[in-house]
Amino acid sequence: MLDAALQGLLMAAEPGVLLYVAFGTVLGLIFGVIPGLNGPIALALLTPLTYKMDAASAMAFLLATYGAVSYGGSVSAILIGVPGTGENVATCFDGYEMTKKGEAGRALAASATASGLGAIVGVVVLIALLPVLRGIVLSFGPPEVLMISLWGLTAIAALGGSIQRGLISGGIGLLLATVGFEPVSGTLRYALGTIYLYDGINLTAALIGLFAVTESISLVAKGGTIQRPDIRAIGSVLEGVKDVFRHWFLFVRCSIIGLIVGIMPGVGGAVGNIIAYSHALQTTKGNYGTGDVRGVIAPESSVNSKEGGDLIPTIAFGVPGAASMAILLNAFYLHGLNPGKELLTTKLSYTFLMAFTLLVGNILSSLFGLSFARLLSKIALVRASVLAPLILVFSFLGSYGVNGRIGDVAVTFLFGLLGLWLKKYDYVRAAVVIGLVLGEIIERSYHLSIQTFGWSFLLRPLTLILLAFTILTLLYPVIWGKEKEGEA
Amino acid sequence: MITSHYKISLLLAGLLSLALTLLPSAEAQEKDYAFYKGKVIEFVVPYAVGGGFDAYARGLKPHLENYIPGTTVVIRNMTGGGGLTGTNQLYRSKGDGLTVGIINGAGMVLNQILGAKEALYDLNKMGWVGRVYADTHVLAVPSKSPFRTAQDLKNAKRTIVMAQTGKGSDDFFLTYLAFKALGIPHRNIIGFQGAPEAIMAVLRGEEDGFMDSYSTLEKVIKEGEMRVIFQVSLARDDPRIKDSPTLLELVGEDAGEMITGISSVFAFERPIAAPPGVSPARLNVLREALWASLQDPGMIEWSKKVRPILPLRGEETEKLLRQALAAGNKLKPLLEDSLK
Amino acid sequence: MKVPETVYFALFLLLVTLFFVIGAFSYDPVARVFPLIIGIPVAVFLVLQIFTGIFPKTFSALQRLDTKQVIQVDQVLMAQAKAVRAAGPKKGRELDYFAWTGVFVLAIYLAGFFLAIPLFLLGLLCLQLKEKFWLGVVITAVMLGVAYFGFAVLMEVPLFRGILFS
Repeated sequence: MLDAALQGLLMAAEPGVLLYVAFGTVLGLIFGVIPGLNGPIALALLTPLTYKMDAASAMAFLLATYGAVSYGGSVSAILIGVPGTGENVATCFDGYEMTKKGEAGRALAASATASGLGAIVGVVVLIALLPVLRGIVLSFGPPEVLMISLWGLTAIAALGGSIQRGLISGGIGLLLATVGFEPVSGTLRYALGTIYLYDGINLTAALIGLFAVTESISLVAKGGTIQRPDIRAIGSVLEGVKDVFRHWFLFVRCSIIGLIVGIMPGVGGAVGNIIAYSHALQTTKGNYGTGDVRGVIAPESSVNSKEGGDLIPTIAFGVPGAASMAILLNAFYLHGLNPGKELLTTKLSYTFLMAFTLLVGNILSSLFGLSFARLLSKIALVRASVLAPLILVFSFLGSYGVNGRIGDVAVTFLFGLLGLWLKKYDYVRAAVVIGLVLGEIIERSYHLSIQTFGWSFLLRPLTLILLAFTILTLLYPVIWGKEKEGEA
Repeated sequence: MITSHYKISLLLAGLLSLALTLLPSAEAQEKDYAFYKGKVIEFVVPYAVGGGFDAYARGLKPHLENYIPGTTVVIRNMTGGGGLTGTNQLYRSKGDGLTVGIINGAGMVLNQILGAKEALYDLNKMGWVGRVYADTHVLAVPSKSPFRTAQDLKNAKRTIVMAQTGKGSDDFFLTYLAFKALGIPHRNIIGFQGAPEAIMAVLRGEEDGFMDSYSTLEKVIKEGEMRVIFQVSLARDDPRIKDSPTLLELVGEDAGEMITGISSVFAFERPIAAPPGVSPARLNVLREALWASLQDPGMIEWSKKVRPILPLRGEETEKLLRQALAAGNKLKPLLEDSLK
Repeated sequence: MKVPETVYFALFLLLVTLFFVIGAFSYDPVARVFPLIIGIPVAVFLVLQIFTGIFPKTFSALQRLDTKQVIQVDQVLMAQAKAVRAAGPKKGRELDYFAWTGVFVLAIYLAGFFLAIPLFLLGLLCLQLKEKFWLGVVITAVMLGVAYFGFAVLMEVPLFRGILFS
């Protein structure tokens, strides 16, 4: 195994390959920043470009791009409150607040460091688990997916000032997630007679509405700049890097959560960062929702380790662990690589190549982020009356760009209105998003669990453990919570 | 003088009528390449980026652009409703020859036969450009499964459990019809997000097996994780699975009509369609370009590495459609039964 | 009995929730489960919210239970955020800008992106926000450039031309 590792390292270190890694990183960052463009789309668009490359370069290029997209997404999530991809939703919650507080640089740095290092944790664990890969993948079934999603859902009760309003917000999100075709019975629900709603409410369009549109309108109405005018600093980049080390245990836990989410079949990146955020929320005493750096570290640590997790079923069985993996698989086949047992035995060096590329790509984009953090955070100082209209135009462009459907633009607009109301009346937008994201996976895994095991699915060991966690986290505030002083 | 004029006009009239009778066949060969210069062709894919249908569209794109000079092909993924959104959209597009789409032929035929109210298209009215592929469908079980043959399944002491992605999905109907033909009762577990998730569930031992196209299952089968018990076809034509018994062999001639029906529907699997009303001149261009693309060495290289192709011309694809609808209609009562 | 605005919003949410709950009954039992399990509790909570809003004193005990939590929201920041909100928007009400956005979306639908973007940007920047005209033109040009290159060319997504033109 050691010489496979060495070979992989040598392949990754070739100047040609490194050049592609750099190129892919830049492209990925750009894709990530544009709201609505995400990993799978970037990969699909770029695969034809790799036709003329050799296998190693092609893999390196695609993986580097893929890794950089989510970082690009977190940049826009932090600076302007627009999640560039579904995987950066939770980063918005605290990241944008940090920017308002004048700590944009710190947030960007923390995000870059957490995701870069998170990639390392993901890769290290991937390599360590190589011998038991199969067994691990096979132990996560619908009941476990259900439990971990429910666990993530419990955050809705804890965000914001009022438990009730948090629950209502989350509930609305969950209800909205039921629009569209229900797979088990084949019933079309709440489609209001349109073809557009067959697949439900487009998550990206809704996100852009709830965050980008709402925030821009608030911003332009408030005037001034994103950052509070009395603060001129942009937050220390070094501070952000140190933060990750300061909270290293949280970081490790969230990286592992990301990995687990990646391994789980059918659970996407949007779910992962929410679960990590939720976990941080409930296990640490922090000022979440108002710009706590841990609210940035938690989701960011999980995003890149999730990519390592996605690779696992892909490598172990040749079954794609995520949508993006399916596209990567196509690219692999195109270049004569056959993911599966081969990658674990005869072509093990390629697996290491992939691991190293993912690593290097992530680190590169993080370094990129760190160097430009100071520059990028100046955006927070741009006049609202100039910035907000730009963000608005950008948002609607992005929303349309995802699928080319004008309906998405309407959804973004309506959710923008909803977001304004939610904000005004003290409801929790973040909870609505959480409900919207987790709704489908919860319902689906619930029905699959019941069909497969009947109610005894609750008795599976892993399921029981996760269920216990969930109940504990729900009861924790009620039993041990303190009243907030001075809030009516 | 008058007489020769008269003769000339008679001759001219005769020539004109001759020309007019020849015109229809001229029209059939007419190809309006000029129209396409500098235009954009929208290629609708009713499924997500990265999936099987999308892969074909992207593989074809450079070749179509090559064989219809002056065009740019733009791929539009319109996901939703298991392919219904995109197919409905395709049907409603302008019939100016600038829109084509790859659709799930089998699924859409079944929807139309069942009169699904969300199916707002009529396959009979659409223009057919050709077919890129039709796969053989198989039943796969884990390698460690105690079931080796269809007979084992029949003799099983408990109900066989099958994984499916959705009620009314292709694999749903496929399983129902195949098991009905074999006379084996089964129980469904429905709701997996896609084939990969269903396959993983079978590998975890939660279900006994999964039915889908061979290409989808090829990877896990080659890895040794799963094996094929039987194939849904009339003959062992597919070289990749010539060792697996066909449904016809297993069931015999009695259910021959049913199996023919199933095979016809699924032979229509991945056609390329155009909205209704495309002029013959432009449809011919599309047909010719698609056929040329599918014969192109570059495309054949691609098909060896990425996804296999089994080309069929436009005219034959149209015939296949009529067959599929006719055969499918005979299966209608069974299909309706399965949804209860 | 002064009815605070929050009650109206809660009522709106309640109507939405009831739409889901009542709609659920017309569906297959399997499809019904989730909307009902979520919808009914949410409806109950919303009713509570409405009553708490109308009769604050009667429900004060419920209020106190409601705001118990482990997360210490930074009080200083909270106070500051409240102060900012109370001071009122400096450049106009949110509703005004929302109206502008609505016009923008309508323009996109009717006339397509390439006409709607300049209309919106120039209108908003120069008319409402009183920015200098040359700045408005520059920003519009940049945005159109990004829209064209980023989306139409790079991603090959033909931008919507508006129903008036297609």
